Amino acid sequence: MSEFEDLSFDEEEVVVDQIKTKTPAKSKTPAGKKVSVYFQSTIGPNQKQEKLVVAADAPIRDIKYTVGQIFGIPPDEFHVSHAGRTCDPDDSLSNYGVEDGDSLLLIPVSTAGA
Amino acid sequence: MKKSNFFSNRLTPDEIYRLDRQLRLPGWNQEALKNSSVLIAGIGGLGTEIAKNLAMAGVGRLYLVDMDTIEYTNLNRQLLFSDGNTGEPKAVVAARTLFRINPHSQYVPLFSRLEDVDPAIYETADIYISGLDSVSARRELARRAVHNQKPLVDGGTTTYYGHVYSYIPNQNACLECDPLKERERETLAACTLVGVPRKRIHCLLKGQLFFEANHGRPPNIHELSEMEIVLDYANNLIQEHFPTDEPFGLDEAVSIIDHHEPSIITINAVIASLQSQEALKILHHLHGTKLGEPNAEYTIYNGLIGKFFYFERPPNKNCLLCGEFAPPVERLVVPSSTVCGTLLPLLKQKGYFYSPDDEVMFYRIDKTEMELVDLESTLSELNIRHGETLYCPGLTKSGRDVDIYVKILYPEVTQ
Repeated sequence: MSEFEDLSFDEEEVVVDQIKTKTPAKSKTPAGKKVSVYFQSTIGPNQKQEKLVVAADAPIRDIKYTVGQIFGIPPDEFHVSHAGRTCDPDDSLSNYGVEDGDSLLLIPVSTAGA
Repeated sequence: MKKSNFFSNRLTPDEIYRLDRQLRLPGWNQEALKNSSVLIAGIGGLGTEIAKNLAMAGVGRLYLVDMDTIEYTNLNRQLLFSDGNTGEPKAVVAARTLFRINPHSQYVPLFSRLEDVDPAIYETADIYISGLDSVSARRELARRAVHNQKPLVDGGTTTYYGHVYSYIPNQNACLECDPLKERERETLAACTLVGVPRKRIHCLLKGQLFFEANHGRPPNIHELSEMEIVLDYANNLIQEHFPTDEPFGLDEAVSIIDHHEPSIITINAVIASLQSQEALKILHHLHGTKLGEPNAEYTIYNGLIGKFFYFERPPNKNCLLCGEFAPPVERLVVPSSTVCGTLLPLLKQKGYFYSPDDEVMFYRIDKTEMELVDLESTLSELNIRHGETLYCPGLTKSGRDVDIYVKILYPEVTQ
């Protein structure tokens, strides 16, 4: 017997109140500054670029965590580089003066002398 | 008459014959290379390749610095070493092999930490090249490069990627221009492991410590029964503190406990060759021959897709090592019989002041352990070497507080 058998979809109609849409004059959530930037990989098995909107005040560690998933690269295997500066994971993008349209490079953590 | 490679009296006839093909290169100046000396820090995957390249190219003198001995697992990529050499110092064996490759150059092995290398060598070498595998050693070399105003050709690899970056004094970023606070893996302090594990990995490290405490030695990663002891302990902790996390498996535990960077000769050879070529150009430039243009950009090689990436690294004016407010280096030329206290009036002469109530102190920093200088002894009594750097905090100049570095130079060596 399937467990779905008991389910009945036509028992009662749920009437949902009509949703009234209204665009507020001002956003009610006090949003922090966001920047729209291009992430470009230099590592990994293919060259990739993604345009992403990120919070300028978020820790770069957090951004790496998410971007790492999008690019398929573990966060401890790359640094984020902006305008030639390697960004500290404890800082935020606003510390580096990142602006809309800027490019951020995912560069290798190549510290081995091998 | 223009200098000639083929009729240089700095080169022996034998050398001219040996180097014949490269002497034909446009813009090439073999004499400049013969008169050059290069310090190579780290004689591993990169260092051995770089040393081989520069020795074959006829660079006059190579200082080979490495504190390690040869391991069997080096032999898949470090061509200066072979089976019989395991256990011998890398620097020494490299010097021996290089002499067989090209006996016309000098190879100075330094089986030592970078910190303990004679400061005079840092003064003498025209450029530094790094094939280092640690952040702390890189920082040490970076400080020497900035203080001695020497170009530093840095390289590094990780899996199929690598980078090359030449620090060129007063032109681009030094290695400290990034405010990177990341700590090295090995500096994980023992205190972080005391008490409740805060991360999954701490459980495994605690398992390792548990084994060591009971057996008086680290676990043998090739011994299943020993690894099981570590795993049991670690996975019990995981169950207790991180019940939603996966327990450790054997392979994961082995690769963490016996940690080694993966490394392949092809990537090493690419990066080392780029470093060597940049070094040869910079040496030409330093000796007045404009051969090409040194690449001042940070270069990344991605061996998985066969592509290069470049970006500029402008200097950071707030850099604590090379920026506007970084402690300056004052070079003092004084005989070695000078009493250290006499350095103070010399600095006063250069516009530095100190409150008479405060005791001014000098610290020796060009060694593994920092040391306070006894102001009543002479420089030679303290064995302060030519080119050694002293750190002197708490002075004022033009009404501003400054810390300075004092570089001691002996006239008998300088002249």
